[in-house]
Amino acid sequence: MDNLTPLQTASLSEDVYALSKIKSLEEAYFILNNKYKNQLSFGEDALLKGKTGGPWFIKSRTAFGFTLLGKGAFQGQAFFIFRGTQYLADWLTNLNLSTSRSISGQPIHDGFNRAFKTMLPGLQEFMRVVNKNNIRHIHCIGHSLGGALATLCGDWIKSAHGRTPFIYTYGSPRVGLYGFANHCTSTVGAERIFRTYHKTDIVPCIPTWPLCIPLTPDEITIYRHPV
Amino acid sequence: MHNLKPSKVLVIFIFLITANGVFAMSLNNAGKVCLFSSMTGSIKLDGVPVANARLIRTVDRNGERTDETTTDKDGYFEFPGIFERTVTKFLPQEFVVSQEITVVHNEKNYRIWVGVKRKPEENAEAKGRPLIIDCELNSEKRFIQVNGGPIMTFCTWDVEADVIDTGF
Repeated sequence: MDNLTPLQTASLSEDVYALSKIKSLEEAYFILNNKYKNQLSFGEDALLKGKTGGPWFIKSRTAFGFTLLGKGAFQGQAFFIFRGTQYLADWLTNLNLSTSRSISGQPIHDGFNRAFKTMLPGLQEFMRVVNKNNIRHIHCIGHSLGGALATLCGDWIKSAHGRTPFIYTYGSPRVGLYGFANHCTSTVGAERIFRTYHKTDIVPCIPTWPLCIPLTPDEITIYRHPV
Repeated sequence: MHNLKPSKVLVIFIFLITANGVFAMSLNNAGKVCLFSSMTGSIKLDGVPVANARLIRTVDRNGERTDETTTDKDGYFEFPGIFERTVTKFLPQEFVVSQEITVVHNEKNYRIWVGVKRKPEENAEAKGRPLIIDCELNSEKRFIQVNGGPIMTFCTWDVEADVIDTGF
């Protein structure tokens, strides 16, 4: 297996918040290089802009994550990293509870689906870079709402591009119904999906809290992280 | 009818006053978050204090806010804390504020502080201590992380940096 370690994915899923908030890519790069020992570089048009918000309320278009390419020991690896809930509009996305069809045709949470689709132009651009650069491994990583987006990203990469990514989520809400969970687990592969959550966290129960068992797309592996 | 002793009345009175004060204080701080802690400091260029330099400070949590100050003849400056009230403090979501300070001196811009604050408490940038910084404009910019917030800076201050291990 060529999956990343829990420490690596936890660090990236936490740092996406700060790095996507830095206004200059050059300054974000300075911080990235210092923290990640020059092992990662931003992809072209690295910032993933996305739109969140409910159907009737305010919407917010903000940086929702970024794409990275590995260097040195991580050459040949690509990273899609998504931030979680940060603005009130993000909560309106979380609370948009109706279902719609994912790109792979499965029933999923409409708020996450809409937010993900606003990022597709940036994601498609990066997939062109991935396909040009002899990338062997693709990693989709996210925390909270970002975990739901990372799951959808992984499902999209598999269904639209035929590549099999790794998916790592921390405290992710439930993304879809059982049709989606079964489809994602069987196509991406249970051994490539790493879902971490805390049993007292309400976010993994969205959208059905308090009536839920956190379970999406499938309860494969529970990492235990000291934080 | 039961008679209350004056001492009991006094205890009840003090309790009510104190409880009321605590309640008022907590109401006063309800939803309050610190976007940038109050800061004092000095600006130098090649070790010489820079007088009358313009400092422009910008914070952005959910929209930009900017203020300015100027160094005195000894290169000292002072910024008050920037606070905000938000209902989102009570929701399970991340606190993320970008912070920037640019010094304008002799028609040149020095970005002495570019960082992100990840904790809503005041003085999180110095782990609870007062934020007193010394900045040398002709120094190498450096990276430091404090309380989970990365900062790119030309300045130094009294703080123990976070130990970083990303696994990379």
